[in-house]
Parts: sequence; structure tokens; C-alpha cells
Amino acid sequence: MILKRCIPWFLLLTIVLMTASCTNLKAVNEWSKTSLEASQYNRIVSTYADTLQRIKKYDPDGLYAGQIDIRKKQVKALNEILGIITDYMAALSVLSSDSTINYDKDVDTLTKSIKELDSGISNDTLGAAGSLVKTILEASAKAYQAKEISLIVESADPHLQTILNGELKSIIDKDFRRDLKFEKKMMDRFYDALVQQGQPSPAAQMAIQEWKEYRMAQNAKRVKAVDAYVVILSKVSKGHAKLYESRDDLDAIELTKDLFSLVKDIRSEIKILIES
Amino acid sequence: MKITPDQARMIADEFMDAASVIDDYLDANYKNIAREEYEYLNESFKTLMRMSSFATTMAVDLSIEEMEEPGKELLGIIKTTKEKIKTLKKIGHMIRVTAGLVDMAGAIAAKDPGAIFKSAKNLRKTIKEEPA
Repeated sequence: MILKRCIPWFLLLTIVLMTASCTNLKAVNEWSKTSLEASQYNRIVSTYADTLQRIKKYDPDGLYAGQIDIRKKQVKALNEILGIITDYMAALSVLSSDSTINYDKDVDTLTKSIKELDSGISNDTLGAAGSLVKTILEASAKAYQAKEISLIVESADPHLQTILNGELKSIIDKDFRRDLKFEKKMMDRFYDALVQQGQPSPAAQMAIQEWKEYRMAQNAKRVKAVDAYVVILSKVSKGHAKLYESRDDLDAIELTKDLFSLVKDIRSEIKILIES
Repeated sequence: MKITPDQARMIADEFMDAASVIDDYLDANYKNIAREEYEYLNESFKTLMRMSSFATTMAVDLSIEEMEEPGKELLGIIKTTKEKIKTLKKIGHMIRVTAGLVDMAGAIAAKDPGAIFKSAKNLRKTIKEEPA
């Protein structure tokens, strides 16, 4: 009777071991979790929306209202797009996580039902049988997870690459950066004009200079954040391309090494974003 | 043919570079030029700077009947003007060439194809006429 019960499990074990050999998804999980964290640092987008508002202080005669409205709409769209990337990374992260399903209850029920047969089999053997069943179920789940990740990555990659390397990157890398250069130039001229045309006292000149340096430093920090965000977008894109290339071998040594190296790079850029 | 988003970005960058040339000139010459001249060039600098920020949304999708490739042609004119400004020695010449560029920037901001074509034509003529 017990032997009969065991046959399906051994068959399942054989199938699972043949197809999956328990894929290790740790690198995929670390990379998707870090990408998820990075995509949530979208403060840079609201900085973009506010830049023209700040520039207005240095250029009160400029007609900025229309452009500020356009920026607000752009920011809304960008946040939606970044939200989609965040949701996607969250899905990958959950799917590659170790603790997707807990089988303890199922295994307990099974071993309890064998014990109730009163067959005289020792607790050690029952415990070992339970652990074996858990291993089979986990391997089976991992195989399922790996297959699902492979399918998702395959269908998502072209779309994700279009988003990460297309308009989103152009707006952040070129338009954000140009706006910050614009702000820097306008600040520079504004404070220089105060000194050149206003002929202030030496003390006032010093105060103007200090204030200018403070504002310039803020601008420089924002530029650094743009640099960091652009690197993050490119590392996320690179990581997903690697996943796509190795989608049928998600624990390949080369892929694992690449993903952990990208995780390290993305983390150091996140640090810059936090500091800026 | 319409101006593409990438061309609009390049136009924006060229306006910024042209504004920077005027900015450098003002920094180097603010003691040697009259207040009115300073003010004029300062206003031109600001207009070109604003255009550098607005061009990505204002220039995109513009089509100009008289220009086969408006994106390329406008880029070429702005680049040539910028290079010309760098060579000008006299403030009068500087103001005339800058005025032509600002005029064209205004026409782009107004999204007026006829005015863009006319101002581009005038600007080309001014650049040719002004000595270095």
C-alpha cells in the first residue's frame, strides 16, 4: 500500500529532476529586486517638472506657463511608464523568490496520514519521507517558476528594451540634462548681473557669491542624479537582455556572474540618487 | 517632411550652444559695451536659452512647405550662425546677427512655417553680409 502511494512521487521526482534539476533563481531574484528598488527612485522625474518653475525665479519675464503645463503632462506619463516597469520587476522578483509557496502544511498532512496507518514505520523514516516530498515539491515549483520566468522574459524583452532605450531615456538623458544646463546658465547670469549691474557693497558681493555657490551645488547634485538614473536604465536594460539570452538556463554561471555584477553597479547608483 | 523629435532635440542643443556663445561674449566684454548693448544681448541670450528648453516640444512635427528637410536646414542655419557669432569683433555686427537668430527662434516658438522660412532666409543673408 505504502509502496503504491510512493510510486507517483518517485515518478514526479524523476520528471522534475530530468527537467529542472532545481534551478537556482537567486541571481534573477537579486537583480529583479534591485531593479525594482531603483525604478522606485523616481524623484528625478518631479525634479524635471519643477525645473522651469525654479528657472522662472531667474527669468521672471519668460513665458513659462505653457511649457510648465506640458512638463506636468510629460511627468504624469513618465511616472505611469516607470510604474509599469516597477510592477514588472515586482512580478519577476516574486516569481523568482524562494518563499513563493510554503509546503510545510501539505507535507505534515501527508506524513500524518501515513502515521495513522499504524504500520510501525519509525518517525525517522516518516520524517525523511516528508523531507523528500518537500524537496520534490520545491523542485517542481522551481521548475515551474523558471519556466514562467523564461516565458515572461521572452515576451517582455522587446517591449522593455523599447521603453528603456527609447523616449524615456531620451527625455531623461537629453531633456532633463538640457533643462539643468539651462537652469545653471540662467543662475550664473542672474547672480553675475546682480554683481555687474547692481554694484553692491563688498559684503553684499560676498553674500551673493555664497548664495550662487549654494544654488550651483544643488544644480550639480541634480545633474549627478540624472547621470545615475541614466546608468540605472542602461544596467536594467542590459540585465534584462542577459536574462533573455539565457532564458532557458536561468542559473547559468555566466548569467549569475553578470546579474550579480549589475546588482552591485545599480546599488552604487542608487546610493548616488539617495545622496542627491 | 516634418521635424522629428531627435531633430527637435538637436535644434534645442544648438540654440543652447548659440546662447552660450553670447553668454561668453557678455562675460568677456561687459565692461567694454554700452548698457543698452549689454541689455540687448542679455535679452537675446535669455530668448535663445528659453528656446533651448522649449524647442523639444515646439519644433517637433513642424513642416515648412518651402523646405524639403526643415530639421536639417534649420540645424544648419543655427550652427552657421553660432560659428559666425564667434568670429565677430564689433558689437554692431554681433547685435545684427543675434537679432536674426532671435527672430527665427521667435518664429519657431510661434510655430509659424511662413515666418520661419522668411526669418531663416533673412538670417542667411545677414550672415553672408556681415564681415568677420
